[in-house]
Amino acid sequence: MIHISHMDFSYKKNHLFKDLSLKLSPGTIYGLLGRNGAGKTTLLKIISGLLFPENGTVTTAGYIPAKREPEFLQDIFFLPEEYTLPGQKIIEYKNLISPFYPAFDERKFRELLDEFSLPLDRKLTTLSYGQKKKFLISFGIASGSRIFLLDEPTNGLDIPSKTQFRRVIASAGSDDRIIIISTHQVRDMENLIDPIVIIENGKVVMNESLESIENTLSVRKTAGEPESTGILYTEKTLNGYITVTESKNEPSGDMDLEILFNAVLARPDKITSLFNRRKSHETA
Amino acid sequence: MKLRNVLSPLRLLNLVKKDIYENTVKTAIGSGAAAGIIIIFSAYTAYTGIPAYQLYNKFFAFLLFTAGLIITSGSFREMHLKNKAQYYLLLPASHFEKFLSRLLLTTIGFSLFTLFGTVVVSYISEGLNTLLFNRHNPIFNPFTSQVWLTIARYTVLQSIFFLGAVYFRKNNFIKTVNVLLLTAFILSVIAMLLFRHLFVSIIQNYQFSMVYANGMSFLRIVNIFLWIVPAPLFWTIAYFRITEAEVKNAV
Repeated sequence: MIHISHMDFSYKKNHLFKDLSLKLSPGTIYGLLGRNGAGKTTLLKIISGLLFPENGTVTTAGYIPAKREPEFLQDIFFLPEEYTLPGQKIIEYKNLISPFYPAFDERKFRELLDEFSLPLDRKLTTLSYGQKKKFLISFGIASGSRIFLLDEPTNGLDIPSKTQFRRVIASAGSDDRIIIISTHQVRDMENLIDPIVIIENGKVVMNESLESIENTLSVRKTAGEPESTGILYTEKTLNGYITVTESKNEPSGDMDLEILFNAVLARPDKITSLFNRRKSHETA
Repeated sequence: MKLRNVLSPLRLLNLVKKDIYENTVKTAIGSGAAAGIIIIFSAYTAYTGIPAYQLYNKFFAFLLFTAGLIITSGSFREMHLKNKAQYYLLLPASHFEKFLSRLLLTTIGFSLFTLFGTVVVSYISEGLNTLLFNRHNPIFNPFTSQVWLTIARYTVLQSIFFLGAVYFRKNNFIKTVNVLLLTAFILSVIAMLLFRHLFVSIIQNYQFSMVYANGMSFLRIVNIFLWIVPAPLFWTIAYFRITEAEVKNAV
């Protein structure tokens, strides 16, 4: 559904992506992780046609995003981290914008607004930051777009709203829809995102399902200092240590996405080679 | 490229509707203020008996050129604003529809709105003057060649400000005016130098009447060129600039 091949992109002299390739399939909720400035938001903007790649090819749902053709734009919804909404009531916005989305589901929109306790006659400019996000999530899901891009969606949401958000997004998933969530708040996304995509130094250093990750890496919590052999990454906690090692086909502990992320950033080459080795074994 | 990805009448209609709706309040306030000013001015002339020659024609031209060009300059504002560019660029309509919607509204739309508004205001204003002072100025007649020539001139000038609206990210109106003044100055200097170095010797060797006749033919060609070429040229450039817009250009 989304196919990026040998893409380069830079902001003036800051070369952000060099020869980046990535394939994303529908029917899943991808978690897009990376450090600050790694290019998560930029990648979403390239996928949606808001930025143009310098080299390489990008196709989203069979379209070239940079052309921003209406049929493509009807099929994509991008919730940005920062936005300004027009000074209209929710119902007015819906009446003006929904005709541009032929698959817009009015009933679904009203259901989601009810779920988020947003009345139709509220003016968009009077909503809080979190409420605006809820409104846009509702509109995006109801739009019927098959590509749903969310940039830091849980920023500004209170704790009950985060639970609501997870529930709504999980129920919005379908076989022909691809949801990509770019986030720093990995704990908010646990049990929601799968596969995980991590970008670092302008490249994709991981694009794996949780199952593949759990089959390849093992996360353990120990009270005492762990043995030094075979450790890929270790982190001291209040109760002891958390270590990431290569999985030896023994049952793995629950995958902690934050630890996984830190481990991948600490040893990108080693961890990539582990995944590649495992895949070549499976193929053989 | 499929035609439905370039122009759909329904999508264009929705876009025009959206653009009108989003500017209704601003337009109402601006129109109300302009109408108030002209009613007061007309009442003053009727009260004092000062002859107001072609009052509404002047008012119409002034409103068309000032308000029209300022509105045109801001017609792509959200495309240049960091937090609004995405909303505009990802709205499911083609580049051509987005271009055409704003073009129609700032040319035909604004001209007809101002024309109709001036007719209505002139009837209200002169009706009041007759009631209050038993005296009135001539009513605005929209069916004169002068009025339609004003609209044609506005359309040509509008194309430059339309390109300025797409091209510049901030202070579009001022920057376009500056570019126009600078261009006019440079062209004047070039024309003066050309005349000084190329044509003086020709004038000295020919009969003045012949030079005058040739010069007038040349001016006629230039005049036709200036009427026909600039608007399509600047609109076309503006269209291609819209297709190239990215959010990194927003401020």
